[in-house]
Amino acid sequence: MTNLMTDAALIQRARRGDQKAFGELVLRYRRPVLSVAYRMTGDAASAEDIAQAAFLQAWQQLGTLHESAALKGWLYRLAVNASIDHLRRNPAPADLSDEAADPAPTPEGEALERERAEAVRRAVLALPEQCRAALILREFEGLSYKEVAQALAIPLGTVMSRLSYARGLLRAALGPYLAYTSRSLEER
Amino acid sequence: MKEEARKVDALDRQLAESCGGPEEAAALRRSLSLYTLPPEEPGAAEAFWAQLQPRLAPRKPDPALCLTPLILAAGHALWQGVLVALGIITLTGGWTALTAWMAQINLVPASWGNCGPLPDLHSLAALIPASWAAPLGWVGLFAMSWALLLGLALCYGAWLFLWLQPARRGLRM
Repeated sequence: MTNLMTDAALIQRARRGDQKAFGELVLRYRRPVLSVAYRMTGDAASAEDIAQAAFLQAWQQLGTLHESAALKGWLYRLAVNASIDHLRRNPAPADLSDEAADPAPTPEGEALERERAEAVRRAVLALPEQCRAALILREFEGLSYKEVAQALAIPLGTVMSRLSYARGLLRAALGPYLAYTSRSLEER
Repeated sequence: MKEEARKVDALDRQLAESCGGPEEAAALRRSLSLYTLPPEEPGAAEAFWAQLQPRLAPRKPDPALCLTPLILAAGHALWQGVLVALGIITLTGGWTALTAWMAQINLVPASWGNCGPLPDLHSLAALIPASWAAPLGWVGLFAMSWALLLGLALCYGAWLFLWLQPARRGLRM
């Protein structure tokens, strides 16, 4: 029954205290929220906690959501805010080697790919929080510039400058890997 | 729509240039795609919900959600009341009685009584005793009109405040 309901109808019911309807919304949007939280922190366990906190806040503040169409952007904002709160409470960086560790021996190509993935991860996590948030929403979640601006409640110009700054930093951090990727793209 | 798309294209080009050209931007985008969420075990979503659900306190309806329409309705009812009262007064010829009473308590100059249908009303006015309440007429009318105005202003002011509340609470960063 709830599977067929629109977000607007589920929000309406959840506002009246229907936890089942809210549960359906959680199932629908858990993955994007988790994805933002993971990319903000680089740690899967922290991402789970952050997603829980974000959905808890969403439940408490559901009444403040004016337009149901804005739900996804609103959840992104809650996820980004919860991630930033988490990062400020736990300033020590997540154990970067932990996520990439894989004791099994692998072929050279795969190892190189993993090394690149790890470098990307480190470079993203080294970005300033606000720039990271803009980059994640734009590049990973595929939001338009306008949607990023709405989700982060900042002007479009600020989104552009944060993205430009983030990309500049990533270019500097990933220089050799980018050259390699460019070459492999050309070869294709 | 086209304008928007053009604007976005321009922004993309601008960003790509600041990023070392479109090839490097594409390479960067491809590199970023390597940073993915670790694969999940089956049933992870259900486990997530099972962990979240007990933490959801029963939702108390947001007072602003009930108060906003209530206050708006109160303001509306107040207006309706005023309009209905005016309608009834007009239909029952109460204006003349009112004017006569007002003339009696010196709220309107007695000379007003000589225009239109009012002369007849002097007799009606005479029926209304010029009692001790007469001097209070001024105060009563003054208080009533101010109460009405203040009531309406309060209703709409409170409604506006409550209506703006969620927008203020939602913003951060």
